[in-house]
Amino acid sequence: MKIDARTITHLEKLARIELTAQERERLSEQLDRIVGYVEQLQEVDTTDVSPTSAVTHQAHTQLRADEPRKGLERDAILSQAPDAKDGYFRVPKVIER
Amino acid sequence: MPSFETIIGLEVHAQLQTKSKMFCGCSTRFGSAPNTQVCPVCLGLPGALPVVNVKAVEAAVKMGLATGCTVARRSVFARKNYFYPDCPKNYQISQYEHPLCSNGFLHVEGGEKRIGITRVHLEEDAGKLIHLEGDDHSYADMNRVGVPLIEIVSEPDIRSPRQAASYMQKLRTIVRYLEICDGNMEEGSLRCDVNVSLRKKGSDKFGTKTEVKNLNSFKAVEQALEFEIERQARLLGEGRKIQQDTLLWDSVKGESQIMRSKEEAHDYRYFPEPDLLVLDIPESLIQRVDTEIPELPDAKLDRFVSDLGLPKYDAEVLTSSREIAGYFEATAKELGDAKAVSNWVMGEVLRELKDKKIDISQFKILPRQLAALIAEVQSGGINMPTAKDVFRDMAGTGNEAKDIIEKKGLKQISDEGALDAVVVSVLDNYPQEVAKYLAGKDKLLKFLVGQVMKETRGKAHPQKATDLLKEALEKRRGS
Repeated sequence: MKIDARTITHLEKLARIELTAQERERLSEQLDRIVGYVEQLQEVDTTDVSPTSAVTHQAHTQLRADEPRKGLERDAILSQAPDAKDGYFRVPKVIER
Repeated sequence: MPSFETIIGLEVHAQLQTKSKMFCGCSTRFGSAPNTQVCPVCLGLPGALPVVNVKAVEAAVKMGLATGCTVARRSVFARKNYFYPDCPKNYQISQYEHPLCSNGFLHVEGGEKRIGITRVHLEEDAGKLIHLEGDDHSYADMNRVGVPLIEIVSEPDIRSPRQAASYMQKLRTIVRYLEICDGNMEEGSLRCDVNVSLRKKGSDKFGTKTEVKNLNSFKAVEQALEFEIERQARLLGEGRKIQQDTLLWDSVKGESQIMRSKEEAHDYRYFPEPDLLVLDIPESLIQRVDTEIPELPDAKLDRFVSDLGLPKYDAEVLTSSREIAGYFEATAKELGDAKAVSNWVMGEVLRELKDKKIDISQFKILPRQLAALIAEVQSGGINMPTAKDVFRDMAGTGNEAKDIIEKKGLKQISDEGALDAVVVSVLDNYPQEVAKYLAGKDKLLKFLVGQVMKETRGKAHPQKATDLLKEALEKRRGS
């Protein structure tokens, strides 16, 4: 798979970032090499290997009892936010959904 | 216009009734002050790690078992990536390739229609955004972020808007029976997105589907589907193509608008959640949860019909709520006449609950007391209209029927001597009406019965009063 200009633009959109022309070129080369490496890995015969979703495949997730705990103080959290008002996080207007 | 077949599938989100969130200990209480139930985990602060709430897992397993799903002994959490201000982590932890439950079903339309359930999986809710008219900002409350949800995905087995609403109603009944979700659609505890497409009758290929979001009532589900089916049929009828769009239903305007097109469709880039290991479900958990499942609505309905001899319609109404079914059953057990109790519960009791906007737990008449009231009617102690007055009194005061009847002197007059005297005085007081009746205006009998009821302040035995009146009138015909 070739990482072309269109793929880079799509990735920019997904990551919500804007790249310069030079960055696009550099990243496209780098990503190409990374994807190339993964393609190389895909040549390994994995017919008899079951898929892995976590590195520690033998372990399983621990469960927690359903007991509420106190969280953070609102003022402390909102003081760290870029913008807040009346106890809410304030963000640029969004209309989707 | 060619005739089309409608293909509908539903994605239903149910908020699980846990005390704490899916992956952290924050409270899930509804209606608290904004941003007072948040912590580093649900706010997505660096270094915070999620830990799975066992109660949420049990609830999802319960739903799976109740809908005939296979419960996976090993399932995997996945990251669903998207950027939106209601999601502080910029991803939602969900399940993707390996859901907890799959391949279930439920029945609607009195058992006639089977609707497949593709999967039931666990995930977390997003926050709430508030948009104010004329304000160029939105406001985010993160209290709901991380509240546990199950997503129930149906097979594309639904063929009409009505069927979709029935399916949704059935799901609501089941989650309420299981006590895993309060089913409150107004508060958003139960939400629904629909997928709909049309195809030419007889075709076995699916057409292009659209998705309609934001349906928060059964009526909205039905109306939005009707609207969308009509829109698609019109386009197809004009020989145009359906675009794979996501639409948003506006229940006030009664129409849907395109929210995003296929080109703008989200690319969620799912991948296994690296912060969580696989979810192993021990056989012992499945067995324990299985024993906690109560008699479900379908089984209860069958039993009400076969054991108690109720008509199917009655059984359906009564079993639509576990609490109502329980109330009915307790009353029927006291009285021993299921059909009489069913009439009262479906009529007076449900009306009272609706009028007062209360649920059965707040209802003042206990099953034993309602049974006693019905027994008064059946033994001839009071007549039906009086019984309904007594019922309203009981619903307000919680007093016993017997005491109200005694205190207000409502005992039915069945004594023929006493009734006869009233009949004679009524006939004497309305000579014109009597004459007209005797001349053939039969309808006036009703008027005269009404006068007898009035004279006795509603206490006369209606049938006896009618019989006595007829008898007395016939006598006057001769004289």
